[in-house]
Amino acid sequence: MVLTALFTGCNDDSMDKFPLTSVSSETFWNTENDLRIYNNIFYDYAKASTMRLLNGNHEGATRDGQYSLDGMTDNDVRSLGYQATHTKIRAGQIVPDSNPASFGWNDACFYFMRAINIGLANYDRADLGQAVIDQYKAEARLFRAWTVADKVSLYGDYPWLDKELNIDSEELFGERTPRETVMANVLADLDFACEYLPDDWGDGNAPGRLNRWCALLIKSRICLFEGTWRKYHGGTDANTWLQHAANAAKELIDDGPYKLYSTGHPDHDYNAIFQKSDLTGVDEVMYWRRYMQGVIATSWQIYYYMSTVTKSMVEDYLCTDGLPVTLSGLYQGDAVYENIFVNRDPRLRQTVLHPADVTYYNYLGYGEQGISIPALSGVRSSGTSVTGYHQVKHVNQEQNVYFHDGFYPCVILRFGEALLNYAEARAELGTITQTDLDISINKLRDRVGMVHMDISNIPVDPRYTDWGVTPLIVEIRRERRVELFAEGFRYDDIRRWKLGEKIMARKDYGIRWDEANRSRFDPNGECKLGHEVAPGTTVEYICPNKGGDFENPVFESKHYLWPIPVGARSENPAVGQNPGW
Amino acid sequence: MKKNRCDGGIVPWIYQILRKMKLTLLFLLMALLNSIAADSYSQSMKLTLKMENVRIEDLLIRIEDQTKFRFFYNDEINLEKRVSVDISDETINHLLDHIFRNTGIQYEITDRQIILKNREHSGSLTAQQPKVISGRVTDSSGAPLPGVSVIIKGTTSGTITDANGGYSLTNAPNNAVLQFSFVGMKVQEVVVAGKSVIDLEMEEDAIGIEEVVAIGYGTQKKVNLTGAVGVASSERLENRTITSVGQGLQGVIPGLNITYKSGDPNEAADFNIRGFESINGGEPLILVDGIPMNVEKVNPSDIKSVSVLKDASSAAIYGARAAFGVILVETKKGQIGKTTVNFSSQLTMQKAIFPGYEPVKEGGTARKIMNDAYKLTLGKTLFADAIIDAALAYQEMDNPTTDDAWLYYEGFLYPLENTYMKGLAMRNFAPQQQYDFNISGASDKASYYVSVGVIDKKGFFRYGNENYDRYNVLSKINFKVYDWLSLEEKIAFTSVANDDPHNYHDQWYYQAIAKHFYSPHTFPDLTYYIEPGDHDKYAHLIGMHLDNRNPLPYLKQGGRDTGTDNDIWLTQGITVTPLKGLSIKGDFSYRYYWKDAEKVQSQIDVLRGFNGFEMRDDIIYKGQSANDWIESSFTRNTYYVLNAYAEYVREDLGNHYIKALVGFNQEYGRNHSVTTRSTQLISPNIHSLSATTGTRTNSDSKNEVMLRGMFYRLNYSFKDKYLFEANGRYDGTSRFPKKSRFGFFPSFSLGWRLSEEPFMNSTRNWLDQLKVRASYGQLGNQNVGSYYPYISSMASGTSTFLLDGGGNLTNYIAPGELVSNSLTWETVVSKNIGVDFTLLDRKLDVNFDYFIRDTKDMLMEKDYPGPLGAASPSENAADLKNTGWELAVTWSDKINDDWSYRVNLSLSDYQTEITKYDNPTGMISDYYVGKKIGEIWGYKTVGLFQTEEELANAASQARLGSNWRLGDVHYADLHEDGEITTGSNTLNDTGDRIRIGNSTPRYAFGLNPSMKYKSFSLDLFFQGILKRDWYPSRNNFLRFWPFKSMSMEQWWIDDSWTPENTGAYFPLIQYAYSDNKNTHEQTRYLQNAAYIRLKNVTLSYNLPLRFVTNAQIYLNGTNLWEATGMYKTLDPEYSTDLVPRYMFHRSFTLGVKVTL
Repeated sequence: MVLTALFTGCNDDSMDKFPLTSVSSETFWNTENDLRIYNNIFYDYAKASTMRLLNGNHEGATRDGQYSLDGMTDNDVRSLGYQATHTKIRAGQIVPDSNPASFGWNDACFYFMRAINIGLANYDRADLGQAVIDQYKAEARLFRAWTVADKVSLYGDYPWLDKELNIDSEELFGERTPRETVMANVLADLDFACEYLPDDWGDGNAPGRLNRWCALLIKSRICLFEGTWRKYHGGTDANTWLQHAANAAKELIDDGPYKLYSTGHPDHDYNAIFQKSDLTGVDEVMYWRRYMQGVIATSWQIYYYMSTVTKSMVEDYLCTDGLPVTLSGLYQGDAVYENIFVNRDPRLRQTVLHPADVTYYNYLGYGEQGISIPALSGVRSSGTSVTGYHQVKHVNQEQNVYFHDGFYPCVILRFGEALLNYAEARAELGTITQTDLDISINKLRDRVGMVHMDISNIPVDPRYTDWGVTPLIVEIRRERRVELFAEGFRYDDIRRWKLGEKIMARKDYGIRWDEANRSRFDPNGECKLGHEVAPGTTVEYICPNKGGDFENPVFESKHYLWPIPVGARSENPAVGQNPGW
Repeated sequence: MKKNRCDGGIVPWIYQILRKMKLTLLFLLMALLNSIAADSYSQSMKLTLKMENVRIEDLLIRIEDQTKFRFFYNDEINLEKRVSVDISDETINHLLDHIFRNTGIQYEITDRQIILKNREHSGSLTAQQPKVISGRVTDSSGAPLPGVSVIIKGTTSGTITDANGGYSLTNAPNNAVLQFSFVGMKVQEVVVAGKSVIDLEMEEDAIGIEEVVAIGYGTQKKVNLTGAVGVASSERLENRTITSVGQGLQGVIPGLNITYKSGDPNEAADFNIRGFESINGGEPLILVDGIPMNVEKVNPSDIKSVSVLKDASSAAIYGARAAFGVILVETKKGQIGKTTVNFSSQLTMQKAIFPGYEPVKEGGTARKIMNDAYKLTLGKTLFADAIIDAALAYQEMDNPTTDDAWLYYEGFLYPLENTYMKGLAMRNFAPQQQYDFNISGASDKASYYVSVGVIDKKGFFRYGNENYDRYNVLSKINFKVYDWLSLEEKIAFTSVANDDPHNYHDQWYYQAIAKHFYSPHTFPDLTYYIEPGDHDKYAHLIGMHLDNRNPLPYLKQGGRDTGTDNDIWLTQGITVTPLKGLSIKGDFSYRYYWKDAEKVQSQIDVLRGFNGFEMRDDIIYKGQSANDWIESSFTRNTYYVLNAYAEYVREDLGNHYIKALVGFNQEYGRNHSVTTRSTQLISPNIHSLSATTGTRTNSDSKNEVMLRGMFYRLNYSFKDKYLFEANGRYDGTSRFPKKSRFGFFPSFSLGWRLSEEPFMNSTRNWLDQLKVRASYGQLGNQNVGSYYPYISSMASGTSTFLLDGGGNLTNYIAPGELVSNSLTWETVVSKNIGVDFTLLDRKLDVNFDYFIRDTKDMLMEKDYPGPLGAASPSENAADLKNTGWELAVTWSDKINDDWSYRVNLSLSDYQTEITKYDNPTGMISDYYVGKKIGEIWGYKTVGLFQTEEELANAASQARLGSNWRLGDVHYADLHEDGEITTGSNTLNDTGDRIRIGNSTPRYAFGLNPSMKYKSFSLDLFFQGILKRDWYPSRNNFLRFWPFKSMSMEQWWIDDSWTPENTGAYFPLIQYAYSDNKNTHEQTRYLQNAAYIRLKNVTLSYNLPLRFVTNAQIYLNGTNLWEATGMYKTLDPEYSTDLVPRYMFHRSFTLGVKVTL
């Protein structure tokens, strides 16, 4: 008895210990600052390399930033063995036994969802005006829509979660939510975000928070993806989605404060926004990722040379007469390296390094060393191109620092994309007019001094007649490839257009490798790159992956969607598997 | 003397106290005992006995069994005569008068001791004239033993032997019994019987039945233990090159598993008792003198003994923290007698263990192999042909100059020789010094033990080396204020200072070994560089270092990480003994721990480049140090421990013996740390937060924990043969919610000393003692990782996504984590049976235990599908069963006066199986019911593809990788479905994978033979694991998967597949940084991680110096030899990835120890 009393007395309040450095959910959620500081974590989630949202550039020594994503496609051949993930995807060598890529199926997205859903369940507890609360709700829902839409683009059906789960939630072991249901929810989120986010948070765009205009651009991107996907892969209401895409882009174009960056220098204005160290107040940049020396670094500026442009990419730039190289009399051919730049869309020379521009771009310090371009693997041992074409769109050589200490910013959302989204959506809807072209694509062309796209005079590029789409759509897609090179769009575009078999299952080539070029660029026969006669030609071209593991890329119908990894399926067999895997 | 009849002559608990207390106290207790019990016992003790025709000796044994009388006699006494007795309720005098009638034997009763003498010697028996007795006490090697206490039994008179082991006693009655005692030796008693010179050889008591063992809140005679307790005495820690007690105990006590991850002196040992604890982790509770100190920082030479409480019965008194056993460490105390001064010094040279390190000498060959590998896999090369050709030509040169060793090519200056950073950055031997000084002594009013220890250890870097300094101070003082009250004071202070080169990205250690052999390191002094005559243009670069993959410049000047770790424990204890048999103890200990640390990343000038120096104008830059900063942190932890307990002993109840203990314990700790970092140092040499101009960031952490418990122990024994013990604790912790905060943890154990039974009489000439034991108990585990596991809190953090333009990190509040609403205790149910026996006059001592330990309701994170969106909360979700056994064997023998030897063997084993687990899909990467911990799943390997035909006909391996070639791994298609797969990774569908091994270390052993010859002694210690599998992780690319990196050593070239070398171990040479097709878990590369390592060799010599008590010099070697089944580049003790930052080492020590 005495012992029992004593024992009971032991359990007094002095045994209660509570956390000293954190708050509980019960006492949080009061002020606007609470909501804002909570929503700040969304930016942290969205920047992770497990997401493709605000990832930005290579952080530290990683090499999977936004500007590298084209390495998964025919635009860009990655030149370091480290970049195996993108190269494997490019070659169709992903396998379901492991996660195909860091931004594929992973738990990070679900962590993000949970954070968003907890926020949505609690914002209303704050004693604030509904308008203020709705701003933060809108921000949360924008992130939810964006994140989920990105996963839907890779996996099709995907779990839709709109509340915090616990270990006894049935949803944990359920099937994936059908794509159309998920996307309907995504659209509702996007609509909310486009209604309630402020036009301007008043935070200086440095880069600040995502605003309503960003939401419109993201909405147009997601809806364009979904509309074209349904149109070409099958699905309902494709036109509804395309209309949403067009409307969102149009609202941004008409009412938004952004315009293309232009200083009247068509030879430099296209890539100028990618050459800057600070994008605060740059007209065209709607959202960006800031780095700062000593705070958070990026290694991109010592790895930009890994991005090497392909023959296919170079040949897609129009000639200055608005005709493709297959049709234009202005095309000088590629027998002489410098001639590829002659009479071409000025964006080519702002994307691929012209030998005369080495000093202008301070490219790897080659100017002062007198090193000639192209620098080929084997002939030189580092700072080389594996195709012979050096990418120069994303170069910032004012930052000559160690790779852990760069602060090269990353453009994440820019106004130019809205113009392309608008034109493509209208074209796919079949409602496009010359006026539409003039407020969109022709604005992009004006900046670089290219002739306008004329709806009544669209060239028919024989290379793309098997795409099964109108020449106008072909040209709009070309414009998109050219304008948005190395900004991470190409892989998704190819998949939504259902052109994987036609585009991806082809080898990548580099510069012409005939006798003239060999004796010019490799007089001692040191070049270690493979070469062979390229299809449709009678001449040898550099074939960078020849003889290696990634020589013959594969793209089958199953590759449009990625496989659900084995781990996720063993945790919950009901998630099933995508077709063909 | 017949020893087995002459010891154990006094009530057992005095012997316990003898080990524990100073002699003054002993005198006091003896006197007390005498006054109460001496005269009365022989009068009050009434005997009833009926025996016919027995030998007198057997009769006496019977009397000893029934009573507390003990007989003393020598060989001259003839006890063979047979007598018959039939008495009832008579005194001992009556009985003895009867049996010794007409035998010529006379007896004398003193207290409970009865001395037998032949009548012809007994002239003086009644006329007891005090006389002087003198003699000399030696140890078993014949060396004099100073400090042995010699007392006249039953009195407070006594003395201590001097430096030569001599003593002299006056006023000793002729019928006196002298009692000799010394720590670590068996207590011996000698009957004076008229002799005036009594020399004695003391015997060591390592396995003696009188040994007293520290247990929770008290001590117990080893013979009376009923739980599973392993013991190591201080001698196991002596003369060894160890900086911590963990190193000394590795392999010593069966069932106590100690592992280290590296040779870093700061690296704490992983202590484990009886194997796999919980899927949630777990560790034993470690107490030093009853308080939870960091045992790894205790000076090993201050340690007197270590007890390991392995089963629930011995550990239950520590309740909620003792689920996985308890390690009790006792420090030394002052011993009564003359002041003892010890000084010891060790000088050690250490050499890093680096198995199979084989630099490739030919720079051209190495580069060519690398180029070919690149070409094969990536279709492109690393080096231009010109570089390869030059390097190949260079390696053929007879007397190459420095100029020959470099090639300028296309803007870069390339080395043509290989660089192996190990030789450049690391030195062959690292020194260590250790000094210990202690002084101790005692009077009848006070005792003291004061020690100071210093360790100074250097690391293996050639430049900017690591420095480790530790200072230990221990002061223990006891005062006897009154006969019934004493006070104990203890101060334990430890300070550890580290001064290391700043750690940049963890890269040095890995790269400093073999990686990137083709990178240059130091700008050379050449006749010219690019064109003749340009030497002066580049002269300022000579001696500067390449930045990339080169630790040298950063070691030299890249800043330092320094820190001082201070830990002080103050203890005030009090002992009150108000009544006979009752003692009340209380102690309060307070800990103050503080640590200051400073990390400085300083700017340095390095040279740009990669495979070669990049010869551009801005070749000098700041490299990795461009972003410089200083970080200062301060940690302050406080902790208090309050213990109060009372023990009551009754041993005057005839055949019954009762001891009871009840007590209370409360502990409270608070931790606080603050870290501040600031960037951009004004000068690389001014290391101050104030002298910076960049961004400042701060962070802190704070937490509290409180524990409270009440405990009891009850011992009962009948006739010292049947032993019973009950332990228990009612324990609470602040880590659990109020409603489930407290738990009750009881245990019970039984022992039966078979050897004391009359029916075992016939074995008595060879069996010294035999005991069987059994125990059952429950324990709890409160140590669940987090301080507040049941509270979901929203933690603040900062993001590197910069929202504002000022370069400030973005603050955020994170959503709270998921917590289970039904969190409660993990329970550990432990069952143990054991047997202890001692044979052949104690030459052989054996302990064996078998146990089953069920860990139930384990708190764990189940693996939930991703949509949960949070780390899984801890739930009481799983059970496991851990079974095993332990064997400790000691054989000791003395061949003659010069030679003696001893062998200790410890051997243990365990296996663990999951018995409950919620894994509905049977995922094999997670736990599942029936899973044996340590299972390795993998493919069966057919071999390497040797022919195109084999390659073409093999099952598809497309799911494991692409581009299969000759020399790649050929996996077996166990399912014969034409495809190698992982299936669905569940038990029902494991694809072509099977269980290929188990990483649980089986049959851990320690073998410790030692021998003595005159003044020499040799001690060897082997330790190892007899069975274990291990699979090298694919990240282990420096020491096992060479084709996954750009490292190159000769063993890789020699042991990789080529069309000519088809019997090679590794696949064909290719560059496959992220290609894992050949590294999947498989039988081919499964390693046999069994090993034996010679942990210690000590050869010591006692110098015959007259002016000191003892002087010893010794040579010690640590880790001198090993054998393992692993591949030659792997070390069995660090089966981890990559190279540890601080390697294990062999060490060679010269030590001196002097006792004044």
